[in-house]
Amino acid sequence: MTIRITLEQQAPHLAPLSVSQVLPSGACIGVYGPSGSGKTTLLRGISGLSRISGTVQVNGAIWQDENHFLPAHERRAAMVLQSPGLLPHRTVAGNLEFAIDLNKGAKPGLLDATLNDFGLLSLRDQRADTLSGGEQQRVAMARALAAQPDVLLLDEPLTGLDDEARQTLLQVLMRVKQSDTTCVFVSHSAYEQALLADHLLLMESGAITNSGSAPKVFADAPPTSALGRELGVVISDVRVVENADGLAVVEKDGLKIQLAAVAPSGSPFSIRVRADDVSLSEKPERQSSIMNTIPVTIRAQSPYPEAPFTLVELDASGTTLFARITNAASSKLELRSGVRCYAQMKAAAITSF
Amino acid sequence: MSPEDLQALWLTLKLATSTTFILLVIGLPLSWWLVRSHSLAATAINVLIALPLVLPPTVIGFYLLIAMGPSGPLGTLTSATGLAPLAFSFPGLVLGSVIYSLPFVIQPLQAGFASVPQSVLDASNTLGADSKSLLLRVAIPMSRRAVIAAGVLGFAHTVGEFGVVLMIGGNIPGETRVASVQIYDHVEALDYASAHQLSLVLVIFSLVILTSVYRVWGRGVFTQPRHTGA
Repeated sequence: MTIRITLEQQAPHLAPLSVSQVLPSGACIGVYGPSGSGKTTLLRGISGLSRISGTVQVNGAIWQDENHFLPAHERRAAMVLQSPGLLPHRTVAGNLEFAIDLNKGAKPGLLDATLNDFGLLSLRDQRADTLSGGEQQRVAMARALAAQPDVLLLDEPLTGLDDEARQTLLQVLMRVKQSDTTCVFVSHSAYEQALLADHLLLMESGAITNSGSAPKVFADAPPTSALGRELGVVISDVRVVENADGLAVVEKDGLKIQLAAVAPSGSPFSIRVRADDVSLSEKPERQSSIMNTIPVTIRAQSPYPEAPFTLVELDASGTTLFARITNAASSKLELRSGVRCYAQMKAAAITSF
Repeated sequence: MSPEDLQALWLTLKLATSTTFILLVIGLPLSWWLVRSHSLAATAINVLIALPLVLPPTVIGFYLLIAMGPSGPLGTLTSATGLAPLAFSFPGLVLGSVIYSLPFVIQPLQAGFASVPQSVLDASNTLGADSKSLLLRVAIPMSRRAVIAAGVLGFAHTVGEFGVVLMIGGNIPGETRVASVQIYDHVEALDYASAHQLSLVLVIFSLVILTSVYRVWGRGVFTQPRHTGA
């Protein structure tokens, strides 16, 4: 079961797109790239909302090829946009019923089951235009899944929400990811992609620059690229060895890092350390709010794409870390390969997933 | 008020109601198509619909009369199908009113439909709603204000019509003599008292309709319709 997409659009006044991919069905396919890289154009092409020439084949069903073009309403692809697009004059239940009425395969009980799954039972009879932004987006996702699509298309659904709403919706999306629903998740947040994507497409100027399993694409991303910079170094398979004062101490191959976000203990998980959050000092600084002071050896230094920064590659007990520091700081500390110093990271800057 | 005056008022109401009904039946899908289509045909149709806004009613009436005449396209059609000629008849009056009031219905509807956010239409479209469902279940409920405004404007404009009616309907009591023509007749006959009476009825009627519409809008009832689901 696969999704085959070949879409090509090169016209003077249209966003360029040139994509040819075979994607796994049943997985969450992340699409990452800067704004204007064609992510939304790709989704609109898959959904049939935009007529882009090429082939779209989902689990054997041809949605479009040289001779056929199924309009959006005949494709089993439900889309959730950044703006929830609910029917403001209907209640939460009424919005779901809109999708269920149009879903020919819907079984009785789908409405209540979906409301329950998304924690919407208490909002059931509330009008959509009285809900908060986060609630509206939750209803939009519930409504899209009530359509029981073959592919769920998510276009930056968490952008513009406050942190709390974003976390709640991330949990919802994690559950969607664990189901066998195929989803294409467009987001310019590396963190969201790290949490959700099984398979990742990197896009730039309408073209795919890298694709494959998400861990592989993350590993391929240079630390100075947009993805690498936002994601940082991912240290996988870490375990909580200690919990104290609201901080968790995690360990990997002898490297111990403290973080504020309390991760579920027991099963191994991943953390990320971004180059922007690492600073260097000659001596271990004890009188500081910074909780992590780790002895490291400088492996290499390279000029950062944007002046006046230097990217310093560090060896921390065998684990690679990066620090982005100013050129001035680099000369002040007389950094060069082989020098031993201390990497400092705030516990609050380390995120787990 | 004389029985003739009452008859004219009744005929006016009948004409305005039939015209408004037909205007909405035609206007809703037509405006929906005009808003969504970027074709040259849509532009051309928009121009044709707007013509009554700039042309004198007598010009519209004159061409309609020619078209309804024995050698005109509508006249040929009615005689070929065995129907009664449209000129100087109530159905002819309805047809003329529909054409003359069409821009007053189409323009508010287009404005209403154009204000439905594209995100709502796109999301609904991917959930399986085709163009007809989008119109009936998304655009019309979300543009209730515009639909009511269009209906009221179409109705009021038909009540106030004179030139087109006179050209194609003439002045047949009970068939084509509507209130505006009856008032004209009273003035022609120097019967100012009767003209005053009938005019006052129209003024009060218009004030009542407009006031109630503005009051209801002011309270937001139309903007927050109560829907409990599909």
